[in-house]
Parts: sequence; structure tokens; C-alpha cells
Amino acid sequence: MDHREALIAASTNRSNPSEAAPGIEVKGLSLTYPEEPNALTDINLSIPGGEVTAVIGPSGCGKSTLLRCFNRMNDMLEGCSYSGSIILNGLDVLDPATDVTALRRRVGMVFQQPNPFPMSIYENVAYGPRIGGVRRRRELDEVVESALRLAALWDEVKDQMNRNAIVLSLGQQQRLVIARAIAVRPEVLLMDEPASSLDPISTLRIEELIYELKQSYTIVIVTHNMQQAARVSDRTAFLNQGRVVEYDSTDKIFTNPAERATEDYITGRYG
Amino acid sequence: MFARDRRYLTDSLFGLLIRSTSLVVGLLILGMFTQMLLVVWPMFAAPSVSEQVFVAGMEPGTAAVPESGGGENPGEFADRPVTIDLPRKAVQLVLVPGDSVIAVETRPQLPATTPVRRQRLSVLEGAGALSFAAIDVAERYLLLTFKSGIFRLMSIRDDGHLESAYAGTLPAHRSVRPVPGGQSWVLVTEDALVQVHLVFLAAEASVATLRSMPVSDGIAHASTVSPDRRVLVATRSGEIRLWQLDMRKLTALDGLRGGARSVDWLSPVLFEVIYSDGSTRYFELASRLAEMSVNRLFFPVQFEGYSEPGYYWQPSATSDGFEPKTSLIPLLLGTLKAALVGLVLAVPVALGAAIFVGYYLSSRRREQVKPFIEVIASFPTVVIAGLAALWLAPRLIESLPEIVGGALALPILGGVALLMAKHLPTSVTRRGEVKVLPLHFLPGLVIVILVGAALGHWVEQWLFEGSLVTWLPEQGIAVQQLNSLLVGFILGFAILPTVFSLAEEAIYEVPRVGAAGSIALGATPWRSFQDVVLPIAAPGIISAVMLGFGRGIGETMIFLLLSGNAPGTDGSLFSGIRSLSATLAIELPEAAVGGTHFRTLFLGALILFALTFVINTLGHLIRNRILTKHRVSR
Amino acid sequence: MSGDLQRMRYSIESVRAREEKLGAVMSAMTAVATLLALLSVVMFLGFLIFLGGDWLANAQSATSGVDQPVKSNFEVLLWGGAELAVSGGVFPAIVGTIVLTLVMTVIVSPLGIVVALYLTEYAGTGWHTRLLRIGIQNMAAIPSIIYGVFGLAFFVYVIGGRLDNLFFAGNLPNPTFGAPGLLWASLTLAILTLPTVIVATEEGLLRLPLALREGSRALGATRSETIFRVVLPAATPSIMTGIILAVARAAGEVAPLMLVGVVRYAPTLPVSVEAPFIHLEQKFMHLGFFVYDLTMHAPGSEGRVGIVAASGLLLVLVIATLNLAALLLRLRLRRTFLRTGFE
Repeated sequence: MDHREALIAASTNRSNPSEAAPGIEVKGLSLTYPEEPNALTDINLSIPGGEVTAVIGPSGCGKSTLLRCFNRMNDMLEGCSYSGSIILNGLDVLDPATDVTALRRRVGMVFQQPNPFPMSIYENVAYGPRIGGVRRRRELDEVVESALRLAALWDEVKDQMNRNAIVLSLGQQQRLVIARAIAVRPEVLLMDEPASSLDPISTLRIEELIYELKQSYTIVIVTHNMQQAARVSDRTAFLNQGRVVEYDSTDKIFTNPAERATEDYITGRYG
Repeated sequence: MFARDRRYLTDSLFGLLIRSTSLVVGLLILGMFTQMLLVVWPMFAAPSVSEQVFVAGMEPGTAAVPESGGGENPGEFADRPVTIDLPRKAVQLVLVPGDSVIAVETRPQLPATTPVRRQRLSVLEGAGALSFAAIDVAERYLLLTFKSGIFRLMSIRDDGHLESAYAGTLPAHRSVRPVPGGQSWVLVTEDALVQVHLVFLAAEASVATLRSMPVSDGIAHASTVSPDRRVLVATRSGEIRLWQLDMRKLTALDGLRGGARSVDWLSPVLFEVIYSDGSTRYFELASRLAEMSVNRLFFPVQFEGYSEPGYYWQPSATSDGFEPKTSLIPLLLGTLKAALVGLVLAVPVALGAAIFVGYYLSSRRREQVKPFIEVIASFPTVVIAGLAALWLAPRLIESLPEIVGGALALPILGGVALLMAKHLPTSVTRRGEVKVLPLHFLPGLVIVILVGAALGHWVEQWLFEGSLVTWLPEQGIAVQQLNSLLVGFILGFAILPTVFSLAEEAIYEVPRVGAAGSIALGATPWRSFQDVVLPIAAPGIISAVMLGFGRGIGETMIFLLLSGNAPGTDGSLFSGIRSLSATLAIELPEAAVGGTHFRTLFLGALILFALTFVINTLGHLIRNRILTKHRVSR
Repeated sequence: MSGDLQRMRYSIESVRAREEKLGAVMSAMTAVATLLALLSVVMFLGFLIFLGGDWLANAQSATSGVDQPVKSNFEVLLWGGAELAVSGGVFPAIVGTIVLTLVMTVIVSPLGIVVALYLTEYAGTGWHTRLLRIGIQNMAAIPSIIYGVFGLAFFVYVIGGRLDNLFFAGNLPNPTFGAPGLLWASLTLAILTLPTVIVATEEGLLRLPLALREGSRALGATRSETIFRVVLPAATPSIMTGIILAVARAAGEVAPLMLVGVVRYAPTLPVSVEAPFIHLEQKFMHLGFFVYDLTMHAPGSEGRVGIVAASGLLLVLVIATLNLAALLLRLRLRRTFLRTGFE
């Protein structure tokens, strides 16, 4: 197991891999943008570090929007404004003075569609470190290898590092994108329906990967797939129409929800 | 930390660069319009005047100008003989007015090649005192005017002998001012300036009133006519007004003191005003730019020497004193005429092909055929026009009936087939609708065209006495080798890809769901095209035709090489035309920068610009509406 | 009852037969229109190749002297000869065309790319962006001669005149940049082809999925880093296509050049082997204008067909090659994207 720990040490900023990843405190978060005035309303969540938190809810309930608040990707939308606060390890994420690019290096993100850059596998993974100022080839090689190993892709691609990433299978592409996110050594990983475009076997591999990664990262995953949420997450938040309906441990949510709406959703009455 | 700051700096600098460059490009587009407007604008601005102060004794023209203040006016009778030079005939006429006769001496200019001739002209009863004598620029006529308004026009023989040609009456006047160019004169009456001109009515020379400009408070004194055809008038109330001969108004000049007694030009822009208190002041016009009026650009104007008002484009001076003729109508009409002919020829072919390629052909075949028609757009028009000018132009006129016959054969055959469609035997239509490019039609196509050509030839023999080219002029229709039919024909070829490509896209973009539904209900593909696809694609097709038209009116090289560049306003297809675009290409490099001609050309460019801009914007608006309404990802 | 059904069936049958015949005739007519359009292309190219090729294949006959080697018409076209009213032949015109389009490319490429980047990566959906789009859409359809007029008024007289007053006052009243010349002609053509480059580049940029940009931004890259490292490399083929199309369009334009610096005969080439190597203020010759001049000032018109067709053929070949390159590039690009499932 110390092999894994070494890997994790190489892929995070923490010198002691057993030290827990930081949690996220969401307080009174509301978000509006012109087309959707009540995208998110008064969200309060306390996301513990080193665990997987799933966000579930019907389409258009604001799950992805919430996720995109954690690394301020919503900034790219026109006319979007926040209120409330998100505290990550003492840093107020939503503070306008917050250095957004630095924040995004602490909070990695994996998207619904695998989006490898149309360049070589190596360059894809090295992209983040390069932008972060890593120039030395040896250092880059190390980062790329450890990220790929951690994403369980190394054995499959180690002989074709210079091939264009877009020739990989979708499942491989998604793991490559995870490796690319890991390579900048974030503390938090955001996953926006990471397996929704994948076949069942690839989905399984991603879920296994999530399980392994949670030792070293705080993971927030948005998913449409209830079974997936039940399988991979420790805590689950149920969102509806921009509000948190219920937030509790996954076991509680799936076996004994406090709210009627949660139960209806989970049992498939709507959504 | 430093590296991060540098990254952000780079990012914001790059953003700034992108934004500012785009702003510059956006301004450039606006700038094109404003730039032209800026060049055009001064033409329509009222003339401005500034006073010039000279050191005493250094006043301009004090030595040169006679004391009358009237400048050099050699034709005027003022108790002295009038001498007129005829440089072309190399003689000099000396007119000595007497009681009832005028003694005329014709003196050879070169040392006595011919003897001096003497002639006596009788003066008409009651004509009164002579006011002026002048010859026309061609030295064919001598005009003698009397203050009563009576005039005599004498034709001048080559040896200088005068023969009576015409006599008539003009308004009574005080004096006469010759207009540069030697075909017209301004009569100064008590309360009006009257421009009269030598004009040929029914092949007979005469002098008639061209324009007159009333001066409401009476004329105290009028200046000579400046080279820019401007007359200054001191009114009885002591004000100075400017009349530019072809304007329909007197311009009041600001900045001049009242109480003027007389006024005269010292140069084309400098003039002196003598006040009733005896003082003299000098003023200068800001420019020699002739004022332009909408009337001169777009309405019929009667020019010197012309018997009727009309539209003429002859903007530049071929000789001094030439009256510029700046009607844009012939250029606009020529452009529109050829563009319309081109459209009439191109649209049926382009739309037919668009329907076939966009509707009947499969996506794969469509992609194979489409570029072969669109390739026309990449042929340089100069090469198309060059070939047509040298190869087609001589043949088009020679074999016009055959070509027209060949061109009409197909639409006629198609029309007949359409009318008779009901009665066609099933065997002909057995195969159903054509869905692949029917190359096997080609031989039939060629045969039909040849038969049409033969028929055309036969009709020529039968109706036009064997030759249309000789028959047409006999009917009073001028036939030129470079004519609007030729321009239209080639222009049609040039705009074919524009119309085709846009219309085809409009048809292809229509989702096939509706058409498929209609076919499933038992409609034929054509029926479902007509009822389902066409209504949706119609705005796109209309915009394709509009954009094709816009492309046609802006084309330059085809007009330049094929139109003959002769401005005309007739509707004949066999006469040459001159387009706005070709005029710009020919005349702009030679027009004096900042002159009236230069600015008028810019006005033409502005009109062409606005015309295409409006057509394109409308076309795009129609098109974008339809596309956003019906676009479906395929 | 069965009689009614019979009658109805019969009338449906007859309507159907009529419809089918109508469809057959109409579809045949549209097919004929397509054939006619194709035929016109074939005829034009046929004439061009036949007339031009025929002339090129012939050798200069009686006009060359006895002791001179017989020149082929190709050489005559290239280097000039008795049959050419213009001395110097088509060679300087080819050089002029190439230099002109090169300078134009240098100007138009960055401008077009930057504006396309603005439209796709920076601009919002405000009214000024829409205005810019309408402007650019319209620019593509403004007659080329208008660009010439603008080039003359703005570049030559306004900017060129200023430059002369500032830097070349010693030469006045002889204009240096205040007269039509290579630089202004290139600038004019650059503006003329700007929409082509913008539209092609924009198309390429829009084709790239948003996810690509988000992926880069989520890794902490700034906007410009995303553009330089991800967006532009991925859009390179589209940009190249746009530039090639722009060059192809520019190479065939003559009308605007007539106002901003093309001449019948230029005594020297606009390029030289010594510094400054390129003479931006010089007037230049151009292949398209060469064709125009030959046609316009042809003494015995018919005799000129051959040489006009030959030089026209040369021009068409140059443009066709460029267009073909653009087409192939686009095909390759499309194939790459099809394989990756981006489209």
C-alpha cells in the first residue's frame, strides 16, 4: 500500500498522505443568471473532506450549476451573480478577489463528456502542470506518470504517450481527463455525471476509480444515476428546483429519507 | 508569484489586443461609409467667404482691371469698335457700329494672305443700341444682340464673310456676359439674369433662353462669369448674391457688408466689392468646388447647346468652360438594366439546378455535383469578360437569331411539356421523377438547342430579310457590338453560382421530415416539394435572388470590358451601357482630387455601396430568419 | 355502393397518374437546368483551354528574324515578344500578383483571426456584437470596386498623404506613399478578403466544443492560455482554409487594384535582392490587369483571343490550385472530426 501512498503523495500537495483533504462549507448560496433567476436558492451544505458527496435531483434542478460554483466555472456565463459563501479550507471561493485560476488548480473538474484536448496523451496530462509553470522534462514525466497510474490508465497507454488522445475509447478518454485533473494536484475533485456517456464496463472502472481517489481527495459528484450515487457516495444531497431538499448520509437518504419528495424521486415517481 | 502575475498580465493584454483590434475593424466598416460621406459632403455645402486684406498699393488687379470695374468683356459695345479674334479661321472681325449700319472689317491675322474685306450689315428697325457681339466656339456663327432684346445670328463663311442666318427676340437687357465655353451668354436685365445659348432646333441654328434667375430686389451690377460658371450680383439693396449657372437658386453670401455698388471677379475665387461710399474690399470663396444639387444628379437638366432637358453623364471638362453634366441616372439605369437581364437569364437555370441538387439528389451525389457549379464563382471575372469580349461579342450579334432560338428552345419545350403533361403517354413518365444526374439527357439537350438555333436561323431568313443585324437598324434600333444583352448574358453566368448556392442551401436546409410525411401520404416527390419544402424555402430563395442581384450590380470587370461604357438611358438591349462600377474604375484615377468630378464619383460609389448594403442586409435578414426558424441538426 | 368505390378509385388513379406525369416533367426540367449550369462551366473551361492551349502550343512564326531562334508562344507570354503589345510579358505580372497576395496575406491573417477570436471567445451577445456580425456579413457582399474607392480615398490620400508629410517631406511634392502603390493595394485587398478569413476561422472555432475550453479553464488556464494552447491549434486547418480562400479570391480581383496601384507596365519589379527587398510604395503589374489590358487595348480583337485565353488560363490555374488546396484541407479536417465524434 505504500506504493499507492507514494503515488498520492506525488499527486497532491500534502506531504502526509494520511492527512485528510479539506471539506467545503456552503452557506446561504444563491445564484441567479438572466435566463434563470432562481437557479440556486439558499443552499447550505457541509461537505466533509476525504469523502464522496453525491448531488442528485431531477434534470434542471441546478445540480451542475451548484457543482460549477465550487470552481467558479459559472463565471463564464454571462450575467451570473452569486450571494452567500463557499469556504474551502479557509478560502472564500465566491469572494470576487479570489484568484480564480489558482482556485481551479485546487478544485479539479471532470465533465460529462470526456473532453481530451486534440493533442497527444502526454500533452493532455502535462497541460495543467505546464500552465502551472513546470518546465523540466523529468518533473513533467513524473507528474504525468503518477497521474496516469492513479487514474488506472498507465498500463493501457504507457506505450503510446505520443498518440493523439482523441483516438482513445470514451472510457479511456474519461480516465485520461481524470488524470489530467489529478496532474495539477487539486484538493477537491468535481465530477459532473462522469459516467453518463460511458458503457457499463467503463462506468464500473470509473466508479472503482472514484472509490480509490476518495482517500486523497474530497469528491463531489453529480449524477443522474441513483444506483451510482448509492454505490460510490458517503453522503448525498437531493436538490430540487434550486433548493436542497435533503442532505444526509447516503444510507439514510436511500433507506429512510426524511422528506416525501426525496422518497418520490428515489423510488422513481418523477425525475 | 511573479510568474502568476505575468500570466494574468499576458491574459489581460491579449484580451485588450483582441478587443481593440476588433473595434478597429468595426470602425473600419463604419469608416468606409463615413469616409465616402466626408468626400461627398462638401459638394452640398453652401459656399463660404472670407475677407482678404491687402497692404495698400498691393491690392490685386488694381493695375489690370479697367476702371469700369467690369473686367475684360471684349464683346461689349461701349462707344468703341469691337474686335473679335477667330483663331481657327485666322481672321479678326472688327465691328464698328453706326447709325443704321454696322461696318464689318475682316482682317486676316497672318500677314496679308487675303485682303481685308469690308461688309455693311443693316440694323433692324427699332432694335436700338447694340449691346454685344460674340462668336460661338466653333466660329460658325456671330451673335449680335441689341439692348432691346432683338438679336441677329450671322453665319460666318470661311473667308470671314457674314450671312444672315436667324433673327429673333430675347429679353431686353442692360449688358451681356459671355459664359466660358463660347456657346452661351448671360443677359443682365433689370431684375434677372438670363442665360441664353446657341442651340440647333431642327438643324437650324438659333439662340434661345436656357435658364433665368430672377433677382427679386433688382440688379445694381453683375460680374462676369467665372471659369467655374458663377456670377456675382450686387442687388439694388446693396447685397451680394452668387448664382452658379446650373443651380436654381441664388446663394446669399454671408460675411459681406451691406451697401455694395458693384462686384467683380479677380480670379476664380477672389472678388472685389466696391461700396457706395467708394471703398473697396476683397473677398475669397473657400473653394472652386461647384455646388451640387439633387436636381443635377437625378432629374433631367437642359444643358447649353441641347434643345431639350435630358440625363447626361459627361462630368469632366474636355476643354475650358465645358459645362459638366453629372446625371447619375444613365449609370444607374445601365447598371440595373444589365443586372436585370443577367438575373432573368440566370435565375431559371440557378433555381432549377438548386431544386434538383438540393432536393432530388442524394446527399452524397449532391456533394459531388455542387462544387462543379460553384466553381464558377472562383473564375476571375476579368478572364470571363476578356474571352467574351474577344470571342463572343462579334459572334453574338452575327448569330443573334440562332442564339436566341437555341436559348428559347429549352424553356419553350419545357413549357409545352408542362401544358401537355396530362396528355403525355405513361411510357414517357414511366420511370418517375429524375433522381440522379441524367447525363443521358445531354445528346437530346444538344439536339434541342441545335433545332432551336436552326429555327432561329429560319425565322431570321423569313422575318428579317435574312439578317437581323441589318434589319434592326432599319427599324431605328441601333445595334452595337458591345451591348447590354451581352453584358447581361455574361453577368448571368457570373451570378449563377451565387443564386444557385444560396437557393440550394435554403432548399437543402429544410428538414425532410415534412416532405417524407407528405410522400408517405401518397404525394409524389414533386408535389411534396411544392407543398411542403417550397413554402419553407421560399424566403431563402428570394434572398438568394436578391443577393445575386446585389452581386450583379457591383460587378466591375464584366461591365468594363463588355458594356461599351457609353452612358445612355434607352431601354434597348442592343445599345451599349455604362455602369456605375465601371465608371468608378475608369474615371476615378483620372479625376482631379477634391474636384467636383472626383466627389461626384464618390457619390456614385456611396450610392452603389448603399444599394448593395440595403439589398444584402434585407437578403440576410430574410435568410437568417428562415434558418433560425427551421434549422434542424441533420 | 361498390360503384361509388369504383368511381373513387378511378378518380384517385387518374389524379395520381396526372401527378406522376407532372412530377416527371418538373424533375426533368430541374435536371436539365442542372445540366445547363454544368454545361456552361464545361463550355467556359473548354474555350479557355482550347483557345489558350492552342495559342500556347503554336510557336512564334514569321515575326522572328532568320538568325533568331524561334520562340515558343509560351516563352513569348512569359518574357514578352513582338506579338505582345506590352513589353516584358507576363512574368513581371506574375511576380506582382504573388508579391501583392503575399503582403495581403501577412496583413489579413492576423486581423481575421483576431476578429474571429473576438467573436467566438470574447464577445457577448450584445447589440454591438450583432452589429459587427452584420457588418462583416455585409462586407463580404460589398462590390470590390467600392473597396478600391475606399482604398484610394482613405489609404492613399488620407494615410499616405499624412505619411508623406511626416516622413517623406523632402520628396514633396512628389508623393512617396501618397500615391497608389503596392502597400495600399495589399491593404485594400486585405480588407476585401477580411470577411472570408473571419468567417472561415469563426466556423472552425465554433466547431470546437465548449467542453474543450471548459476543460482547459477548469485546469486553471487563463483565457489567452486556453486560446493559444488549445483553441488555435485545434482550429488551424479552418484558419488555413480561410486564408487560402482569401488568397484565391484576391488573386482574381482586378477592379479595386485599378484605383490603388496596378499599372500596365512597371519598369522594375516590386521586389529586389538588396535591402529593403520589397518596395511597398511602387506601382506593380498584375496578371488579372494584364488580361484586362490585353482585352481592352486589343487592336485586332480576334487575334488577341489566344493570348488573352492563355494568360487567363494561367490565372485560372493559379486560383484553381489554391481552391483545390482549400477544399482538400477542409475534407481532411472534416474527416478528422468525424472520426473523433466531435460533429
